[in-house]
Amino acid sequence: MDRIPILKLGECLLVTIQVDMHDELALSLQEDLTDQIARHASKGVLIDISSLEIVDSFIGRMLANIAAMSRVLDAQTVLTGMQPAVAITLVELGMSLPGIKTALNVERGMELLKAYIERDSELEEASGLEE
Amino acid sequence: MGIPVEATRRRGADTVRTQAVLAESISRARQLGETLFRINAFELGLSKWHPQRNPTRMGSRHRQSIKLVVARKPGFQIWELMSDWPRAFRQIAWQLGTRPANRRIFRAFFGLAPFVYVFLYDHCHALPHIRYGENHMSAFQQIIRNNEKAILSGWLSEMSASTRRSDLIDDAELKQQAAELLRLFANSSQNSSDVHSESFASLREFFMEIGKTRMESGFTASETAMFVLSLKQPIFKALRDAPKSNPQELVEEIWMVGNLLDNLALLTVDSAIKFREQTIARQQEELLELSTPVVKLWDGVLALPLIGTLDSARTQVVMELLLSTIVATNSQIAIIDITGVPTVDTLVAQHLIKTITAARLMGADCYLSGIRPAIAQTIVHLGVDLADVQTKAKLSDAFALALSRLGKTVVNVKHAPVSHDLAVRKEF
Repeated sequence: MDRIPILKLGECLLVTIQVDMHDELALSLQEDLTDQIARHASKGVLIDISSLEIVDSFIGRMLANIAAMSRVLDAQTVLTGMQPAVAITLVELGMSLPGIKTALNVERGMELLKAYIERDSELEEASGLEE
Repeated sequence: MGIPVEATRRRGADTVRTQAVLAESISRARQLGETLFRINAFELGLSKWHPQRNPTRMGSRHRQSIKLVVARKPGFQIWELMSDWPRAFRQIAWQLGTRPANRRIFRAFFGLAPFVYVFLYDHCHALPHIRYGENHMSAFQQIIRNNEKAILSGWLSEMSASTRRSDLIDDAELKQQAAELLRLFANSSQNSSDVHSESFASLREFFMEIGKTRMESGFTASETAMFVLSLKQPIFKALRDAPKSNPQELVEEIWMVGNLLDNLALLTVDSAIKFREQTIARQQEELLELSTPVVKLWDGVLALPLIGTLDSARTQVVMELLLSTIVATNSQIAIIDITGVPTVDTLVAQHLIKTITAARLMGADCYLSGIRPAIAQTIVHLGVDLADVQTKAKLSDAFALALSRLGKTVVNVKHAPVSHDLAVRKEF
């Protein structure tokens, strides 16, 4: 069974979904991603769905779940490159994915993540100094 | 025991004889269990009976089944009649009755005993469509052909009296149209009385074309209908004046022509209305596209000035257009300006929130601007939750916010540069 590759880029993980998502693939991605975050102690996850053209409520919920799980493992999730049709579909399905940050493309998404990680580390340093 | 074969084929002197034969046949049929007989002078007049050519087989007790050969256009059809003959004949009468040529049917049965014929006629006569027999039809078409000029001039004068619009259509064109139409009408109605059948295809096309062109040149729907309906009176006149028509046939023909013309008028009006509806739909579509422009204010900032009421269809267009433009221009911020939206109810607010959420999912921020005080009040009174949406009173405020988000500021320069034009003019 094929799996979606997860690439490590410094403190971030990069997932690009290039094939049509079916339910099993989504579940395996969820499993792999949580494993990887825990293993590398990643600060950010970037999921690029620019090639994803079909989305249903299950995939939408799966994306929300991944974001929530990453949050628990202290990693910020950014979703990039959503197609207009996919966005309309998700809205019509009533899934506004409130916990997920979004960006237009991978480049912007990376900037967003870096800014977030920087701010996070600054905060940590600040709290460390206080101690 | 067979039917007497010496009955004559002539009317007049031998009517008494024919009647005697019929009376005998009827009494025999009654014995056989059938009581549904009705004889009138019309039927007696029709019974051109050819016993010599087609010796009857009815009533021959020694045969179990009877073969009937009925002339039909494609060939011959043979019915095996079992001993339950009244039911079988009723079926045949029904089958034949569905075809227009009722007199031909009876001719096919002339070789049979009169009681069979009478029985068939009785049943065929009960069928409603038998009224539109071939003979009736060819009669009024013949009359139309013979009196074409009179009908045409009558029609034109009728039109000029009621609906003639000399400002919209000229005489020569109208005359040519009317002549063509009359010719087509006579030809098409020859084979069928149903305006939706194949033989009316060319006429239907013609009428639809008329409906369309009339609408284009500014006629009303009733004027278009009257164009067809005013043909009634001249045709009725011609039918009335035609020789050898008895009142019953005349009424049937008038009824039929009236029916046909009514249907054709309806068809014309339908096509005219359809044409108008198409125009409206097309204009709506054009309006939809015109009323939703997406403009680029700055690199990475889009504005969507909405004007007019928002409904579901329009929201869909707006949403798609905005999202595709966001992708195309790679913009981070979109400003939806609702200064031109007259009212915001829950539905419109719902549509706006949907659009904003979809843009956010794609990674663009969406601001809502141009909210008038009255609309702000309405939104709060309706309990619409715009907490997740960045709102600004004016487009300029939203634009300033967008620039600051992009890390850009607008500053005053100390010496405003003189425009090139002015500088040049000063030199002179």
